[in-house]
Amino acid sequence: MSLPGGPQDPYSTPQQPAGGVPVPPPPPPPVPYGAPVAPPAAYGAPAPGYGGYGQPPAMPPTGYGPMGGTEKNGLGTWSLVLGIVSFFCGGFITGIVAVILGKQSKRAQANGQATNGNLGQIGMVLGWIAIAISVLVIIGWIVLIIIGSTSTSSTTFSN
Amino acid sequence: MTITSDAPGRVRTVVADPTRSAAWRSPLVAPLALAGAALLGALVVRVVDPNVAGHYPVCLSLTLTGTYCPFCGGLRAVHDLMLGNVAGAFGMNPLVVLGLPFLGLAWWRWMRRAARGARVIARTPTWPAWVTFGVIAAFWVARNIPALQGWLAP
Repeated sequence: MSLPGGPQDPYSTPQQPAGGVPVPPPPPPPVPYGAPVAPPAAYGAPAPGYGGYGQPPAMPPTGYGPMGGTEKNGLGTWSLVLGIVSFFCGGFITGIVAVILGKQSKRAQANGQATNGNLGQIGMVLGWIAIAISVLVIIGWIVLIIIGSTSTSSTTFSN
Repeated sequence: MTITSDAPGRVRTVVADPTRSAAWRSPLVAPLALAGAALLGALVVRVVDPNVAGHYPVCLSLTLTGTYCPFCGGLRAVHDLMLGNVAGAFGMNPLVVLGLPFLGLAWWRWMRRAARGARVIARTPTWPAWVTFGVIAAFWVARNIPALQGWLAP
């Protein structure tokens, strides 16, 4: 049905009403969804890696102060310190905090509010390693418990 | 056709908005949830005695290198604190006992900011982080010196 109406419509109206009734319904929905999605898209880079946390609405007050400050350098430093500590101590919780602060530090540098995003990057990597190590330890510990409970000899716990 | 196209969109947004923008989106949720989790963890550590081998995983640093990490004895310290035994907790890990008030202070500041509607972490200077690192590192070394282990090791 679009064939007869095709040559007339595209020239008369810029939009392609090709399907007429059935097709238009899909286009409108993207519009209402497009509006709320658009703001997060502006922060596109940090948002996807940010995982399940606060999500876009939490951080966007980026328009805070004037550019080129160091007022958020604390984020990167804390991330590095916590990353080192959690790396050497197998800290799960401190590793999570190091990762979160490291990401915020990198974002702060991108927004011109920090100059030490590299520290945040290091802290984030160390934090991830610490999380992985502690998860492995916990898994191995659970496996040991299962083995110990099934073998009926509790000597495996002598460690 | 505009009616049919608008209807589903409105219905979905109406359904999605209240669940997100209600109490769950309050800035107070995160600090309160963290405090609840910490309290729950402390209760678990109180009930499940960390003095009994096998109740918790062994510290990886102690297992692999034979040296105490800065937080070795931390679970036992929390266990003692939950029983009201501050001296025993201090003997297990003075760093944890002395650090908890600072953690509590940071949490309180977070709550005050959240109560004013702020979601962003407060800006801090960098020196507290370096001081914290210095204290932890110094304690780390000191508690592995044989002469000092009577006071600092768990």
